[in-house]
Amino acid sequence: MAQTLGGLLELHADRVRARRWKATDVDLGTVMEKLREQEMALREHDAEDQDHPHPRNCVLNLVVGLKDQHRTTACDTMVGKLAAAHPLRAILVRLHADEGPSRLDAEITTEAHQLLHGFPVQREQILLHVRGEAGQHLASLVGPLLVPDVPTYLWWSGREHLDEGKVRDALRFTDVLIVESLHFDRPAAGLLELAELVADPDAPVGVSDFRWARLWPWRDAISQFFAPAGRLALLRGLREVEISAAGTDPDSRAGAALLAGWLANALGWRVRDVREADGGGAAGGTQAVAGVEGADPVRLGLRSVANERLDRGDLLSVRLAGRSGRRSYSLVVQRHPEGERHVHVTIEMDDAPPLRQRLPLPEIAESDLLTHALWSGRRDRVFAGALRGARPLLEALAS
Amino acid sequence: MTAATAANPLAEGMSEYRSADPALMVIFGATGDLSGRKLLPALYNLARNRLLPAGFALVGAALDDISEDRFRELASQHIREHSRTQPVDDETLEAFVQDLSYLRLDFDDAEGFKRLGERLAELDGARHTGGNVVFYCATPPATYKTISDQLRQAGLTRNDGYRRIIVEKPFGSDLKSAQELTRVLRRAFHEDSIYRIDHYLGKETVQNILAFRFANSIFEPIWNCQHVDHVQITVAEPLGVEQRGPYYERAGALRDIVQNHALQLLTLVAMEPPVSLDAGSTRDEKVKVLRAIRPLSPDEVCLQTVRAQYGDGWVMGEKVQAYRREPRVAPDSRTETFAALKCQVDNWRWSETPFYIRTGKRLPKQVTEIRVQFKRPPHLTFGREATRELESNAITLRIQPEEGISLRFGAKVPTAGMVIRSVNMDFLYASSFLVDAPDAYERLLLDCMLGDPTLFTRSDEVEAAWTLIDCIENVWRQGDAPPLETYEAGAWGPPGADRLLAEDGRKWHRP
Repeated sequence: MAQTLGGLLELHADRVRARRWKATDVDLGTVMEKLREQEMALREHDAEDQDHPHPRNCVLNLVVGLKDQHRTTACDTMVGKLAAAHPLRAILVRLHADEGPSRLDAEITTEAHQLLHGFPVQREQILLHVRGEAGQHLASLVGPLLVPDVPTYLWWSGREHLDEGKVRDALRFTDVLIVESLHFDRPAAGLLELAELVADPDAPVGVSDFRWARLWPWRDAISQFFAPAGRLALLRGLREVEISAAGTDPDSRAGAALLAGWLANALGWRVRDVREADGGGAAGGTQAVAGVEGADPVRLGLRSVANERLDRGDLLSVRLAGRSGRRSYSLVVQRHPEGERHVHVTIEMDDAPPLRQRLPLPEIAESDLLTHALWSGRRDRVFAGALRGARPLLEALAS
Repeated sequence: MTAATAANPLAEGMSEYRSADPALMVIFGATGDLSGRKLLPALYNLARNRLLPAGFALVGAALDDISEDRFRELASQHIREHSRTQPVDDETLEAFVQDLSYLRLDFDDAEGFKRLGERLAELDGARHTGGNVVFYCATPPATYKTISDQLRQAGLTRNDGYRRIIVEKPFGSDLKSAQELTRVLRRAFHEDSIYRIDHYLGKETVQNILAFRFANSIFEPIWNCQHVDHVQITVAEPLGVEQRGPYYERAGALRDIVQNHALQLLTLVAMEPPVSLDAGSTRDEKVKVLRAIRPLSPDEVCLQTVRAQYGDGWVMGEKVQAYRREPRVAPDSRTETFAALKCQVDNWRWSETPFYIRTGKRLPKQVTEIRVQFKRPPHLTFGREATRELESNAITLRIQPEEGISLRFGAKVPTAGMVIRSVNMDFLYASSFLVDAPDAYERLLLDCMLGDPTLFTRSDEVEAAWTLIDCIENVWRQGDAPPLETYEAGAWGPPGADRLLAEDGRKWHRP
């Protein structure tokens, strides 16, 4: 997530005008007809005979795959907030597990937001409860509901692997797939699947990963250290990279591998000699060697450290150390041991006294991550590069 | 974006990434109003967004005899009260104020500046800042010379790292004094290291003018005298002079607003596309516009400018008193609180397209906007009756308070007959992005640390603007023409302002 000077504002409730419709066991044609009716009703609301109807704004389709009612409710609230900044058509698909005959229940919410003049329609949301075999054919349900000529984002918040049939089917109508790889059942394997998806720069589907966005403060701290022109030369002398993450199994090091992959790709390193080291007890590690051909190698170390407070895979610390000529340096970025919202940065240069700073580690809400994903472009070259760089590490973790 | 960040391979993909080299900052007048209300909260918000450079530390310097702890306490209070982002993050604030220190400093005392030098050397060693220091003069303009000279004599203006100075507007009170200020500052600092801050240019919506014009291909082809009938620039505020009577008595509306804000807006609307958005290219184009504005002859000043002072009246539901009865204002003051003028930009693009500027205090509401009024179609196919309510196309760029852009065009009224009426298509910045835009000072302080002077005013810009203003001021100060009119507080200016446009067959847009 790129840093920004500003933040997102909330739309006041008295500036929202809404219409709702709900039905059980309906067909898609009826849903589409009701959607049109509601939209027209809002557009013509308050418009006198001689006035123009309010406009309808739409910059994207957002399709969300949901597995439980709790997530469905949370998502409904989130999309409501999003619509103010991104006028959209949202299609929330709640997939029910039952095996019975196909059945469709639907709820439609249409909202107009008061802008300077008038109430343009900003949000059209269709919540589909899908039961039975129809759940395996999302494209047939969602495709007809999409607004043409605007990009379609698929937020897949479930834990299924991407190669499962329903996800593959959904990718047919998707321009950008949004995932949270931290929640994958097998994160390393999941990241490898994402790497496969984005490997081709001309691939039709872009990918956005919340975990990658959450790595931004760590990337920022590292990048800032090397930003002064006088310190760029230090990059060539980097000899050690150690990254630790919360967890006890190889998959807990998937995020650490992604960060290492980012460094490797940005600095043109080839990662080799990857081996799993047994840390004993609740911890483990991955060792590798990286670097450019003909230069001194960089030792890469990924460690898992048991931690009760954090999610599996959350980063705990990053240490970079190296030499440039006779100068030695190290940068340590460490999560605050008590709280979670700050990191301690320690910089040591030669024999000078260490510089210690405390930097905010913002708690990035899911809604902000989603907003960022929608705001960003369809292709994230740096993420694709990080996945490419991390591939040897991820393969070792997934095996 | 600096060259350093462009070369950093780890910075790729962070689209808004702006990383400044480690640096220290000194605020002269650190206990004053500007520092407390704007600078310290802006720096705190930069820290909150992790945009302050590594190793950053601030030295507050002022006359007040207070302890370092007291300065930190005051800084915390100001930040809590004035921060753009609320609630304030306690941990970030605590970490931020720990990096503040304070030095009692009499600007006439050379020893004090030596102590400042020692403090900076000490901090530089401890915080690896490479000798980089920004000096911010949050003090009255009269002190700039003393501070600049003292810094030079104490050897604080040259070092291995960069040394930059920021000064606040007004940059002089006429061409001569502006040139003198530049001369004084250049004795101590290179022109590239002098940052003249006009916070107006740091506003997102002012910068959006450039985006609107040069990121969209549909507007630029019609942005010229072939299609534009005229341009109106309005900078209005409902407030009176409040406690600024003595300053305003010397300045007046022309110097206070037209010389800087209004002319800056005019340059952004009228300039040619710069080759790039780097500081040199953008400011070069702005200066070209200022130099293309035809200086008014004394006769033209009488005909093409209007000056007025507010009388009693009602503004936003409150009764307010006349300017001459404001505190610390002379009862027979002849200072204008309203100014309007007609400018001609003598270049290929804008030949014979007038730019009308008006600004004033105690106007009906706060509004800053630029209205680009297009010419009427050469022939109205639909007949006079059908287009009776149709006005010319117009694009309004609203800078504040509701930042946005409106496009006015004709549309058929949905009836059986052919009736065409003007409708507005509005883009409202806040409603479209729902982004809490950064304070202008956040942007500008960061830009200075990055060494990006694009949004700061260059000496030739200042001087070109004063050249135009001096032509008017000289006539206004010497005689009674044009007459100093009076307008009722709460009105859109005096009758003369309406006449200025009416004589050209035009009228002011009501914002």
